[in-house]
Amino acid sequence: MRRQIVALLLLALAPALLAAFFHPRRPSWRTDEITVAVAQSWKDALWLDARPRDAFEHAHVPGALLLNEDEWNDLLPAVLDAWNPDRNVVVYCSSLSCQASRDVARRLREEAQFSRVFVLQGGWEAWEKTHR
Amino acid sequence: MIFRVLIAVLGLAASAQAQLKFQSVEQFVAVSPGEGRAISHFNFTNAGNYHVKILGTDTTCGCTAAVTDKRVYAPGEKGQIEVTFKTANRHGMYGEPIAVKTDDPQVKEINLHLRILVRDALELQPMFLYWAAGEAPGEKKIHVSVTDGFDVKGLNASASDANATVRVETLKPGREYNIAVTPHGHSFKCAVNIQPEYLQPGSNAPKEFVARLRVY
Repeated sequence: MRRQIVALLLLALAPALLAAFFHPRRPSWRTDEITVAVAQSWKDALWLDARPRDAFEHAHVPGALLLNEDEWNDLLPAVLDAWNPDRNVVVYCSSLSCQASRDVARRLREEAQFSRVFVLQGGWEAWEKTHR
Repeated sequence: MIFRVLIAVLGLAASAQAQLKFQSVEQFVAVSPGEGRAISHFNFTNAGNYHVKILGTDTTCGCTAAVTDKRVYAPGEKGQIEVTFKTANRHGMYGEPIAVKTDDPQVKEINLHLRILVRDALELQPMFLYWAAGEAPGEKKIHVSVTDGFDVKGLNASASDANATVRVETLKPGREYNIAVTPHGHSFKCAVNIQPEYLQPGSNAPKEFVARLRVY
């Protein structure tokens, strides 16, 4: 009986692990992702909006700068000007399922060597929910 | 008893197989930003015994578009989903999930994944140097590697501000270089312009790359 239970658990574990690591809508386990509450507790954070320009122009986090990959070369200089090594950087895109904020955060770490870059969990959608 | 339940569950799982059989649900493509876009094709066959309609495709980025060659596929019919990824200004490795929604009662959604590597003629690591407030203004280096497929015979580099001096070190001719940058002042920023010399004049590859530096 015990063996059968173990066998069942192992059988269930395989698809669960596959889904956890490869499903496109898997939950985030990353430690570089933060909640709105944590991000707001940082008074001097540099907020970056990774959404397309039209979404940014419609509404954005107060003080945020636009930095999306479509206009990367044109937008990056303003971000470099605003950044300093003591500031945390918070990048967001539209929602939990969007990838743009993670891509922008990766490039800032890899190409510009920013060390304190965080992705906002839930993105703009989560921000809006807490500010209604 | 437990094993009977297990067999029933596995049987159900086996019967819930998609009628649309893809040759591969994951693909990889490498491109340079100058190409503008990366295109990949996901080929499939309707392996079932009834028609399947593709209701739509979902992507997570405005940079990716997925289109089908038609909507309804008869049993045995082959089809294709073309995925286009916009490369302009992008750099590095990207993973784009594509959800294909169908009216197949067995499997209503099939997940595809396209991985794209966008590499330019030169890779600058890093492309931004800074000297923190109070840090000694010593020399720092930008490592430049030439991507395979680009024929470069040398590099020229210059700073846009006289407060910084720039020197090119050749590590492996045509393959790897260092650009050594030394600031001579405080509280300034400038650009470092890097021009590759291509073996073939008139190459379509980018003519100039820009790194940036800032002294706090």
